[in-house]
Amino acid sequence: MVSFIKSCTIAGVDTEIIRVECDLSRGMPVLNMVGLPDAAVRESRDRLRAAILNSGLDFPVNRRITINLSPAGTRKEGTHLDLPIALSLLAGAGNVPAEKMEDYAVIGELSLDGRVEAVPQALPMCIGLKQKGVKKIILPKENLKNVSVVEEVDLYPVETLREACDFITGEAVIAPVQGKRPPSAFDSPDSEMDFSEVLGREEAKRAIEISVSGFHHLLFTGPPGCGKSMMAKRIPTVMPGMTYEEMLEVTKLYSLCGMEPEEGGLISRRPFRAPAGNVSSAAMVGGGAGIPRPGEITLAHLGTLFLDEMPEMRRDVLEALRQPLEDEKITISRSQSKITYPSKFMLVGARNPCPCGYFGDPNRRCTCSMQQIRRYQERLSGPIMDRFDIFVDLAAIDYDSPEWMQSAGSPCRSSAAMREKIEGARALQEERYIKEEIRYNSQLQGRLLRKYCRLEGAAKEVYDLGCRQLKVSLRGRDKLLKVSRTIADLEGKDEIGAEHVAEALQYRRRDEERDDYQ
Amino acid sequence: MTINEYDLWFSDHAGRNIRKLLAQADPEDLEALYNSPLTVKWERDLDLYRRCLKRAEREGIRICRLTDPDYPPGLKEIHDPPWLLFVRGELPDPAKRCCAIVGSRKATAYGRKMAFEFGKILGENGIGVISGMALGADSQGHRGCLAGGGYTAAVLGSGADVCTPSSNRGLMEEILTRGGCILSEQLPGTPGRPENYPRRNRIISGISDGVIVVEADECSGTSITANMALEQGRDVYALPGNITSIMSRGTNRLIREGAVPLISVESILEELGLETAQDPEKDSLPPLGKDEEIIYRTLRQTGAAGADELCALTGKPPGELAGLLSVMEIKGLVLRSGGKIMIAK
Repeated sequence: MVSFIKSCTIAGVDTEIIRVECDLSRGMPVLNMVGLPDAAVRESRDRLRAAILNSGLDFPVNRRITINLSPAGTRKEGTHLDLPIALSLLAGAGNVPAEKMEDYAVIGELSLDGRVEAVPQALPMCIGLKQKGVKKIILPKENLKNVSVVEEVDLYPVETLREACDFITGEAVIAPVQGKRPPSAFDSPDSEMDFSEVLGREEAKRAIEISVSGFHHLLFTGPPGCGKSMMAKRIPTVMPGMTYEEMLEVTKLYSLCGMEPEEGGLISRRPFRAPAGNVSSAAMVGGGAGIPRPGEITLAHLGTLFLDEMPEMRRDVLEALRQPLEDEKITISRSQSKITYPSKFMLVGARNPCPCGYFGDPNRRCTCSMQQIRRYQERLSGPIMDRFDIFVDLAAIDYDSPEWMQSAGSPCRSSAAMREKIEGARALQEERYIKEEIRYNSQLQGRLLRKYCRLEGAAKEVYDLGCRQLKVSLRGRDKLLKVSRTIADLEGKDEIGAEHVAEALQYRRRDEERDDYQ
Repeated sequence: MTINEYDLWFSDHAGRNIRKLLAQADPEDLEALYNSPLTVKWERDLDLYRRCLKRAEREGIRICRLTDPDYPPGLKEIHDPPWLLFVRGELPDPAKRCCAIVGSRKATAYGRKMAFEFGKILGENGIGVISGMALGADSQGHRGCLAGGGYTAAVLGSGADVCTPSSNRGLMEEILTRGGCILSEQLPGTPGRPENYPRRNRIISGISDGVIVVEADECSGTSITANMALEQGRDVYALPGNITSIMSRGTNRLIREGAVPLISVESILEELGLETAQDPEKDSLPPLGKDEEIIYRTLRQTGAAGADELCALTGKPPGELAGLLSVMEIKGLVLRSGGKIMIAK
């Protein structure tokens, strides 16, 4: 007799439905498992026997058992297939009616005494199953708190194999838990941090405001101690809240890495990732030995990726960022498979002007040779520099100057005030791009750029004059338009005005040094 | 008489004693000096010099000897002139005057801008600009002169056919195509060595009638040039700067020691005894808006300022200030570098 039970496996970020088939026939008493199971799945045959017997159920004797994981061509991994295999086997033996199981998908790991243990990556599996049209899922009770945020599915938590069997045979009733979306209140992240603690630096705060509004990549250049990291760390406090779909996506990605919130529920705060300077390219973009894992850029999806001391990072790591910055996703190719992870993040880079950090500072002596400086600045290659829309140079702060004391004494803008403006600008963009494939100003290009960034009258004049006089490159002109659009959105204006273009000009890439060194 | 390997040998070894040696030997017969028992020499030297001669011919480098009529007259007078000059392009016209522009390689935006402006006004007024083609101030001096349509010559510390720094190749080509010259006392093919640069500086000041120092740290190569110029009896002009700026320490010290402070770009013409074409239009600023005037006046007072300080001083929000600064940048009134805003004009 042959039986079928539905389950799933994870491939990259996607979930694939698999069918666990079991056939019992007369013959030598062996248990064969086929369909490319990995070591963890293969080991389940030993757990299976013990779990079934210890649950007080009959393990078929004198039968040749064949278990097939269909589609048989894809690799299966993970211990969550224990429970579906056990149920399939019991159904094959005629202990439970398999025909009742058509609507259900099953995940769960078995312990030897028959208990059903929690499995990793339960959330992405449930999201995937729901997308594939499965409405009823039997799963370990311990996973319930992570998974109950998925809407429109009935979840049947079980604690033991026995419980699952009784439920199927109809001997016991399990009340399904309806997944529902959590209240999407913006939880204020890290209340200790706020932009009002950053004294002065109003220009940089403004640049952050613009960057976050339009999702523009941002590069800070300045000597050590000028506040680059301090400000970058406060970017999450001005990030607008996430929608339910976004939260689900972020939580799913974190779950894939085993980093889901321990207390369950969804991650409601936009990610902020600041990998260390010596991060490897596999850790940055994903990959690694064996089964590829998502990297930092995927964990920063829909949030911020902050790279401090960017020129000190390894060249291959920086170059690996090029594809995700362009395509908003990363594809990892292996001989057997190809995996695509989403990676739409706002890149915030920071660098010193030279290796010692004091080049151009009138009050400190720079100890680097010109060659060192040039080499340092060239470490951020042209293609990487082209990805940044907003460039901010910060000067060292002279903490004893009267100007500093004066500006330090004046009240500073708080994160809440900044976030309010940012959310306004985001709302305008959502509305404008409702019929387009894009969502943010930074994504504008080609036809859309010309459509939505039309300049009239004085704005056109400032644009033409500025580009000519200040020698803005062709690529720089597109960026100028995008940033102007975002500034206009921040001010709540439909039309880009001359003042918006003029302000955007201040955030252009300044090539005067380059001109001099070449 | 043609230049032979003995000339090269002499040029390479005479050094500071050149005048003494010339007094003892016959300049037309250096072979005798070479063969004199007192001279320390190695046989392979002459081979090297013969190869250098060939290389010079191949690279189109002209060799100019101290006794030649077109040898720069100013350079002839100095204590230890080079016996030979390796020249690409046209040597400066002896009838016209030349001025050197030197400054730090790490010159600030202010220094670079000023080097350019001085080069430009000299070029426009028919005064040649001599410099060392180094990064920073030197390059900007050359560029300014070319922009003003003038004659400029670069004195290298390497061989005349070796572009140092190599990233300035574009500038070197431009100097040559615009009728300027690249010259050096080093044998063709010599790479740039740090020990050659101080000696090179005596040629820069030797050719020139005056030396403008735009920015220099104390005890830098630029200060050496300035001291050489004083030794050679040249006028030294220095650009005053903030006393807090490291890059202005050298120039301010020069002023204290008697260098002529340049208080405006036009003042160099006056110092060189030229008619200053007083153009009243040029001095006045383009019309400024009210806010622009506030910023401009503020910068006049403070020299350079960060955006934060300007925000605090003018009471403008950062976004509005940025817009104003862009407009002023377009007008060429201010410039920004390393997070600081300063006056450009």
